[in-house]
Amino acid sequence: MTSNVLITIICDVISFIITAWLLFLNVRHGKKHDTLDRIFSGMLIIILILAVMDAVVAVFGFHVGYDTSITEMLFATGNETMTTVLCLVWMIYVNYRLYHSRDYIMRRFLLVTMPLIIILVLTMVSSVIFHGTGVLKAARITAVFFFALVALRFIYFLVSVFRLYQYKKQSGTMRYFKISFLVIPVIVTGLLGLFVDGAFRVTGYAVGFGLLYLTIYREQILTDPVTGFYSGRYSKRLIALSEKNDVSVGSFMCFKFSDAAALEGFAPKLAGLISQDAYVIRTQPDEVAVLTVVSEKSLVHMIIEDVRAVSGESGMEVCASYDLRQKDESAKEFLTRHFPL
Amino acid sequence: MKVCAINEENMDEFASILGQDMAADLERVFFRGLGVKNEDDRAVGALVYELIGSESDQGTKSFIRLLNSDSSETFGLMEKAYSHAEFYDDKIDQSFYEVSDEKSAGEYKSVGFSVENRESDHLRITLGDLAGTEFAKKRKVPDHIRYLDELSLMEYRSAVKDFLAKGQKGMLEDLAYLPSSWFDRDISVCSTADDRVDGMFLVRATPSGVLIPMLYYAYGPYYAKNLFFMLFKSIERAMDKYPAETPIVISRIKKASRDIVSKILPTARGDNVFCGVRQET
Repeated sequence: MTSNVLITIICDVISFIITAWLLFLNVRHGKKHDTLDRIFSGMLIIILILAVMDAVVAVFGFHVGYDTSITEMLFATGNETMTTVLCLVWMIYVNYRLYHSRDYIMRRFLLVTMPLIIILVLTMVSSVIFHGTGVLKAARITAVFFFALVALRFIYFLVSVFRLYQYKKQSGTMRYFKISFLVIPVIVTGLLGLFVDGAFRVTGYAVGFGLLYLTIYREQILTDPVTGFYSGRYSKRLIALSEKNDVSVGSFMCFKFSDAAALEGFAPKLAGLISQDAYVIRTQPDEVAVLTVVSEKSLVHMIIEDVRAVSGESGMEVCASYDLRQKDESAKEFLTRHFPL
Repeated sequence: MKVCAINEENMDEFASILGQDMAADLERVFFRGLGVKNEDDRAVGALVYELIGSESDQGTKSFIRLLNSDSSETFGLMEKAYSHAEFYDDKIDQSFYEVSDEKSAGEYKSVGFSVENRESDHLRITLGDLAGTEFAKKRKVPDHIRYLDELSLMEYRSAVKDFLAKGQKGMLEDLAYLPSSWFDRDISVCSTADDRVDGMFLVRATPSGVLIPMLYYAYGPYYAKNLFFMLFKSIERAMDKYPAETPIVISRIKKASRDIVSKILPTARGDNVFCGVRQET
């Protein structure tokens, strides 16, 4: 066994262990965004498969050529294809993370996956057809399809970057804050898929997704596990970020319920009554604060009206409503009391 | 002669001066009306203005929508009541006007307004003008583009809240306070994704039968296509519902509106108007 093969196997084994552990954690801890969990688990499974295939290719010396067996050809082709599939799923993950919309993904699903399916089929077919012919042109034809697979990775990477850019342009600083942690993983994994080969690519993916998982997990521990609302610690980050960037967090509404159980019962309804871009924070067991990213009195008025109309017998009362841009003494005092920075 | 605020109680007395469209607008949150009655208690003048930006920290502007007077004395009385805020305590920083005749512009100039002669930002066309355009051709529109009358109350209110949170209210300072029935629900449309509205094209049909697009916005990764689909669907239904001579007034104040209008009707031009501004503070 050469040193190259040994290094490859070690890298693949490390990648396998890291990824299997991440998959175990992700499945075990069961987060609120089920679709995102499933997509993330899917990506980890693809990395596991990649690690195995890469190790097999390295150990047995599989390669694509007119003098190799069909099994070798298919293994080597499959290895390259799985990386492109990973880039595709990563693009779907980024889209879903940004817009939380299955409709957007399903409407374009066939359009997005068809090129990959076509190229994969053509690559496999040409590999098999031209195998053993000894014809150099055949090898070149197959190489074109391999190149197409790499080009597809580039397209998926570009789409992910474009979507992030589009979201930032449309949403502004405070909304972008929610997904800004995606930027570096997107760029790093995209570049890995294009410029790095073999075991180092797989290891890079495993480490990259490990870092991504840490970010997601960090967000989870800033989330109240029962209601899914952010905890008070998250709001401190938010307010600090808004002050640092001189961006207004907007308006602040506080709803107090008769007790924690009443709040937890009302929590599923609250999400549908506020705007999508608002932050909902559980400040006390029986109290919720809603932060809007714009200071629009009519929006505050609508939210309070709708929450009151739906609150029913939860004993809810509106205990505060501030325009944070005014920065008056009562707003400052309330913020300091609930979110000491 | 005496000046008074126009409200629900005396609206009928000023009906002939206001017209049915302006009378309907006076019921809105940010519209204000001042009227003048002569010694015979007959309405002889009315001033209607709309407050813009009163809930923001950018300063409040006032757009004078109507100033109808039978004499310079009536005009003077209303202008004084307006500039001294005798009936409403709104703090206005700037006032704007737009009129079609030079005589009225001269009256504004006499009380400190600037005067500029230019093309109006509002384009007046008819539904028939759209008939020959690319946008009036029949085409298949996806199912996620729906009419406003297909939305429930909560869906509509959620949409309005999302739009307000994004700072989008079109021409409507009081979007939050308007029910969906204020718009023509047959020709107003929205785009949806995952049972949530991510685009709206809201059209008002005034009591006198004028169609006025009020809000045209979409967000999300496919916002550009949804904007066009909404336009197609709305124009198609409007052609079926209204006669060709139905007037349409399109505001071109925002760049996005100007771009769309120049695509639909590249040769259309606004009327020649006189407009101006006055600093109040």
